[in-house]
Amino acid sequence: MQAVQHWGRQALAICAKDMRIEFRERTAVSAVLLFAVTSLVVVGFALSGEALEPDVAVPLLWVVLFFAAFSGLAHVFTEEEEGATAMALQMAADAGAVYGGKLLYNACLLGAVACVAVPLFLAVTGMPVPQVGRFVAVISSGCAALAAAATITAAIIAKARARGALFGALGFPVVLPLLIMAVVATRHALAPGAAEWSWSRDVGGLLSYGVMMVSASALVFPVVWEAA
Amino acid sequence: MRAYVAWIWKGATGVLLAAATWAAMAYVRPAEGFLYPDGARIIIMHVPCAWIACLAYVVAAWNAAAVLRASTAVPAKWRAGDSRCAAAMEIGLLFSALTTITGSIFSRLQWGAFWSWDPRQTSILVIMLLFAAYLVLRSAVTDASVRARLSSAYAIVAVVPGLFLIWVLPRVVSTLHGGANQAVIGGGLDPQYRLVLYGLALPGFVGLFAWLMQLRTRVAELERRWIA
Amino acid sequence: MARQEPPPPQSLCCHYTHGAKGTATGIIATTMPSAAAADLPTSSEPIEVRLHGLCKAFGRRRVIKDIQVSVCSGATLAIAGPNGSGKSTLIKMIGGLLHPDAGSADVVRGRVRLDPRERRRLIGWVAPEIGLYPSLTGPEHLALFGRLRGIRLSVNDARGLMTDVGLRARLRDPVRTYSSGMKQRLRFACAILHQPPLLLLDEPFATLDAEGVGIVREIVRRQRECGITVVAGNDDRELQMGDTRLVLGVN
Repeated sequence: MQAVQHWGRQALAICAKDMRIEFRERTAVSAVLLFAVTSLVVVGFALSGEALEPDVAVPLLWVVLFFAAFSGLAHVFTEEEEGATAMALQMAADAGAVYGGKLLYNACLLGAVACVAVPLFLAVTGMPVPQVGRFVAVISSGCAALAAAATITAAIIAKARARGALFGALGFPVVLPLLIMAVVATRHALAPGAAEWSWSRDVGGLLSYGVMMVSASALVFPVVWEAA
Repeated sequence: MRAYVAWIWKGATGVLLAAATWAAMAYVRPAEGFLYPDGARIIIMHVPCAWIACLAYVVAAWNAAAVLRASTAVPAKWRAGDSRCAAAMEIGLLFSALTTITGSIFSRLQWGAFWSWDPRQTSILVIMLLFAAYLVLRSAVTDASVRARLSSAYAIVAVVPGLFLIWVLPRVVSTLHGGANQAVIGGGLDPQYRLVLYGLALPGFVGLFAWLMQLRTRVAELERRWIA
Repeated sequence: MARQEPPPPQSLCCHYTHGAKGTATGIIATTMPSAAAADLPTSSEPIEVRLHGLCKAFGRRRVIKDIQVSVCSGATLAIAGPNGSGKSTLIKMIGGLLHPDAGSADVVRGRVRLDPRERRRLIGWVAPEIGLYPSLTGPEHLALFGRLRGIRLSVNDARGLMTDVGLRARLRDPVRTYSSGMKQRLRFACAILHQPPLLLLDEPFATLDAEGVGIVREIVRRQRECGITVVAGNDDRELQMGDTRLVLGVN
């Protein structure tokens, strides 16, 4: 029990450290928000006040979230490698706690971006949301799963000393099934009337992807973290 | 003795593949209910390619798990596994590419379009991207043991989207695109086709896979010894 | 190739200059961290470092070949050798960050051989390649590493540690404003905050001024009471701190 508490404290300390650094330097959050807002403004301009059909708008939303995630969620690992701080962290903290802390941080970062991007998106496309609870549930679980996939991919490419292109190349096939499911689930959530919605299939599917991704990541992360 | 065994199974592979090709062209009758009945023969190549791509992935993931478990202190333990994993991934890329190509030819013959964004078609494309991403990751890392660990970690993580692509996605998305555009070839296969597929093509392709694996791992070992 | 040399003459004395601010005596005594957690290392059991037939190669380059040395609690091992002779590699193997190709680099506590993960809790590491977080302050670094090690460092403890390494004046400044010598001092503070029985110092005097050198000497002197120090470097002053000297050569 004490070991679990210690582990938890380590993870929180790492997450808090990353948040503090991000708060002071604002590199990742700027990149991500800038991307999301710019793309939405372009969409808004192109629509010029007309509403966008949900069938087209929903994939667009998830494309924006995907690119936002993959422009900013690698920082948490690549900065450790580039700043040479990874070794000290490796010596002081358990690998699992490092993964937990970084995952939590990435999830919070993506969540914060979604809080800005999604309302903006709804405003720009004029999409109605009949059932707010479902919509929020789908977006949250989708973002959590997306953060999980992005975190382990970021850990791998950071150790490969690779630049941004590799992050996208490796992340895209891993994330695609999640994105497809998220689009389907979001469409179901936005459909008026409860025609095709199913909590277990729509939200459950996204959450199960997230859980499986976190499990696989937890298995492989110690090896990745201690490589090189 | 071992040489004779090799001759036997390699010879059998050759015979089976030749027989499957002959059977596909001359023995099976043109399929009914298809736009181009003769074109359906491509199934005898398409389905085994898909199976072998999946088999390649299973073999690769198995070896990746072995690499991750192996002690980094003893190179022999992880080198062999890593070599096999990489070989399986390359062969998987080849066969998934063939599956995609033969599938789109069949799709053109039957439904008039090379690509119809059907969930099965998209799945095999993404699986092909997973194989390619693995190989891209490998090429980005220079140190052999780091490369082994990172690429094996990616292979294990990629199991999650792989499972979702093969099993979950066709069920989730078919509720959206129900009907005529399904490329799923379920039961109801003509007994002749089934005989040729399971009896000749599948064993032949498995033998081909094993042969390619053997060749590729041997080449990799020679490269390591003489070039690295 | 390695050979053990007889210990250096005992006429060496530690020069230590008190800085204008703060005293550097009692480096470990003044910074007793409050509240322990599960894994505070017990300095009561003696620890030992044993290198046995150690070999390491990178590709075709044989860096370390057949090293045999044993160091007990209270002793200091100095590793000498020209650039590229494998000093940092050897330190990394003792610390568990690299695996040897042959032989073993063991850290033994009591009778138990510690695996690399367990070893980390007992190690304090200072090396020039260890980076620090540019936007965090010194005490924030100490609080972070303390928290990771299971030690709750109060504000006073952190301040005390910073004073001990002579960084009292820079409590609120982010590390990006530090000079390289100050960063090295902060690395020392981070390395000793959990009172590790094994101290690994890779080029400890690099970038340090006379006051800094004195602080390090005091730390090493204190470490003799409760543990082992391994010092790797080119500087004679660094090597003179060792009781046993290991000289690595380039083949």
